[in-house]
Amino acid sequence: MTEDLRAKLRDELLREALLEDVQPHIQRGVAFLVRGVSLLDAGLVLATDDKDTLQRWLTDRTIQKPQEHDLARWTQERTRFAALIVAPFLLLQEEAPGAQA
Amino acid sequence: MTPAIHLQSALPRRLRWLPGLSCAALLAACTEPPPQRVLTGNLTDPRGAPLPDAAVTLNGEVALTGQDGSFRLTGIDPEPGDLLTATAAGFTAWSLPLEEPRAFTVRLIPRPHPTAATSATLDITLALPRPAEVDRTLFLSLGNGQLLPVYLYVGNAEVTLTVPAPGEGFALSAISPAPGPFERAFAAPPQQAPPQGALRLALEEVPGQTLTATLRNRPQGDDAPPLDLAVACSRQGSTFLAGRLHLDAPFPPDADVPLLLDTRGATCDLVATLDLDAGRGDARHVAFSSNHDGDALSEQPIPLDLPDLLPLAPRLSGRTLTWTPHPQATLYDVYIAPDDGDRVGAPLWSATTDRAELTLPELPAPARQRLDFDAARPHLVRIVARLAPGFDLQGAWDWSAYHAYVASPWTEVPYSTLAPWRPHPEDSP
Repeated sequence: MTEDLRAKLRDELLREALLEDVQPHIQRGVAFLVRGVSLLDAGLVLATDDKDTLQRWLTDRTIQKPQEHDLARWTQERTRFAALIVAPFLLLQEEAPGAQA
Repeated sequence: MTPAIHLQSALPRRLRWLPGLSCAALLAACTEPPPQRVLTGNLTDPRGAPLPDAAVTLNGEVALTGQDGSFRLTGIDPEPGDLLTATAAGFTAWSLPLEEPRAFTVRLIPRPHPTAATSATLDITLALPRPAEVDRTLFLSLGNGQLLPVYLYVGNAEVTLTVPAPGEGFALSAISPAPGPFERAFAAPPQQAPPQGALRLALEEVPGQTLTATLRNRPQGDDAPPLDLAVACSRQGSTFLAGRLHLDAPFPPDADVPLLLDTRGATCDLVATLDLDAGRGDARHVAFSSNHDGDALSEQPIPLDLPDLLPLAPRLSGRTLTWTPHPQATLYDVYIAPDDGDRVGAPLWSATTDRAELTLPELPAPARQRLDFDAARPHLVRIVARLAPGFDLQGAWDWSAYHAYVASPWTEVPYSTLAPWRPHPEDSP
């Protein structure tokens, strides 16, 4: 089941998203930035309602709301994102500079 | 252009995640807006008279004082240590760190500017030693950290400045940025503040430093990657770009190419680096020697051993990653990812360091989890150096394309090299 879900989430992964695509969701406060783990892992934690892992990631800021300085940097650097919808939330991850697809 | 994102999952309904109360509650708690507070106060001069039309700033929010000197900052969420700043014409800026954000009524008394009433307006003429086409922007420094750009095309340039009155230690100098490759550098000695009137400022031409770069073992052929060389000048802890060299293929074998550097007339240590993307994986050697006498760089040869400075692929020695430092970077990010196309996202490890070395066991818990999940696959390691935020190029050089310096290419590292990887005690359930 988990592998099926991961595969489905992988299919939903949106890549090369622009800031203007995700900004409305950031402004609504439903977008979360994921650092250090893959979007799929983060999405899976939400999808399986793994509260303990999510709590830990919120604590160590693996998952956090975008900060103002993030927005400023993204605007300046024209950052692109990978995005994963886990309704009603949107998980975001910065594209690594020069990351391979 | 990507399509607009709508929060409608394409998952089949049977697989669509409906957030359970626990995770949903956790994230929903994060979505609640921070409490917005209001800061009010009054701005007065030392005699207690209200100061109208003064600006009060906190965390980027600005409020202007009314005729009664009162201000009202709204939409703020201050924390201890945030700086409340007030500026008013004729007064020095006044700042107050908030120690207790709940103390929202603050009375500000700016100090009057000690020389505001005695400042002078000067018409300054910048004069070249001889008529010449310059076509560049110089920066006039008033000695107080402020830089005024002055465009100098040919001959003289005139500019009007408001400066302190004589006796205030006023200094004026012209600074030429080092955008490289540059044409000329000019400097003007510090000036004593004259009385009101005109001042003719003679510019002195500052010779640049000419180095010769010898390229060896460059790949031949028209399709060889270009050489993009940056030379930085490091002096007393600050680093600036002294010059750049860009060469397109084909390269002549063992070519000597002149490299004009602007070291701003000062002693400095040179460090060099290459844009790795411009020549990935090449065997190459670049040696430098100076042919400029009478300056700090005249000791020959300049000990730049580029093979040691080249940003080579990260070497994994045991659990330690090493790489070549970037002269302008103090912040490094490490990316480690499996090669299956998973999004690696933000770096697994970031650090401000002057050492080009990271020890893998220091990776945080998510990184350990990342490394653990599939031992059968090779992994990719990449190190990216970010330029220091305080990197100073006088605002004249566009580094927008260099905001992130790739210190290494993606390099495949067999998982076995990373292993054995024992779970950290904190990771154990």
